[in-house]
Amino acid sequence: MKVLWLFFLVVAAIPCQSALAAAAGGGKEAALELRSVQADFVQVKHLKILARPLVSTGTFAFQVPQSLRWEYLEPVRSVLIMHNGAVRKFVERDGRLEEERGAQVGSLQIVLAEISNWLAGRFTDNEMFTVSFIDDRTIRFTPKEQQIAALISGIEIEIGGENGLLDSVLIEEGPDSYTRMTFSNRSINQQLPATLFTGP
Amino acid sequence: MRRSLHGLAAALLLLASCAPHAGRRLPELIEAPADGRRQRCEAVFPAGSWQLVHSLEFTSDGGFAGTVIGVTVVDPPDLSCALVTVEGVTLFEAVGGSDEAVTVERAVPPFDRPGFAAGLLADVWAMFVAPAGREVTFGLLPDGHPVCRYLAEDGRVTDIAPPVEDSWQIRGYDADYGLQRVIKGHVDHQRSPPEPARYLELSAFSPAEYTLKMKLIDALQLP
Repeated sequence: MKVLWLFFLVVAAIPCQSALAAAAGGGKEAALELRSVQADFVQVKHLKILARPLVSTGTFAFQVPQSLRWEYLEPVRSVLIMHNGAVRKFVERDGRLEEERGAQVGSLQIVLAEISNWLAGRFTDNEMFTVSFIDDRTIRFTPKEQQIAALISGIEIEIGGENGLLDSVLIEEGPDSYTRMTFSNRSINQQLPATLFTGP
Repeated sequence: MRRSLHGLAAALLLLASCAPHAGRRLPELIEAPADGRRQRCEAVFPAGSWQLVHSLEFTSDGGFAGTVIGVTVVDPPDLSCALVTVEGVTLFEAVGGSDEAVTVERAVPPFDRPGFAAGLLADVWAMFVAPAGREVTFGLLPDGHPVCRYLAEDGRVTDIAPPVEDSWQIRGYDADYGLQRVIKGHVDHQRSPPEPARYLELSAFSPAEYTLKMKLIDALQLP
């Protein structure tokens, strides 16, 4: 469950670019009111043993207060959805999406609290990560908990372009093992159908 | 998710401890000439060094099921493998050699259980590396299919049935001649030069059964 939990923490950081931009600016700027965001992403995974990295593509959608859809299209289709406090995950098996069971609600409630913190721009109040501002575009999250630190050594979120939109997320597992997600085709504050967050 | 990970670990752990199963015994071979069959049998394994990426669907008799991404680097005499979640989190990474020594680079619980790394590497080895330095005999199975039979020093037996149309089969038996696992591979003869199998299915037997279905996502021949 720690793996899924950690993934949600990373994903949770993604919709909060407006608040992040304000935080990076010393909190002097008012955060843009974020109602929803959609984007495509490319995920490139590097491992020590890999000569050619693993490349995955997908899309995500987030809508306040706590609705999230994170979907991989290639090479293995999977859909992670969170809505009204419930989390479901579907993965392609034998050519069709099947739900994976076993998500723990207790852990997820903690994650949702983290999401609320980040959306409110409270990066320094994070109980799970030490937060440092590397420059005005980059924030680094370093795990405090040993269990999370065993999975990742840090997360770096980079913002750029107009309106402080998110450019990329770097998830470091070790010296030769890391994943970079790069975002494109972002759409802010569009009306999103509820069905996007309730099923695959 | 944790239940799924434990299911995968439990299923894959079995590969190091399979016992003989009634009705799944090593069949007698009907004598037949070799006719260059060893070369055809060993053609089921990737020639040279490769980086292979598969989607890996696992199912065990306990009802556990899940999907991860399997990474295999075949670089004789070494073999490396990794299991990565669809979301990109590394669950397991290890390097093994022909001396059966295994170096675990990373193992997230429950993949850090004793025996898991050696068992997984042995399974991957059976799928991608020809049995080397062993006595080989040739013959026909009772159903008439030709096979190469490899006898290891410790008494284990591996039967390789070379490709018929687009599929081949490897059957592994323990020293008591009980069937441990069957690996079925499907190749694409349209590709030139030939690539590793585009689909692999491993079925393990006794004391519990599990299945791994592996679809080739990416194949890179290494220099």
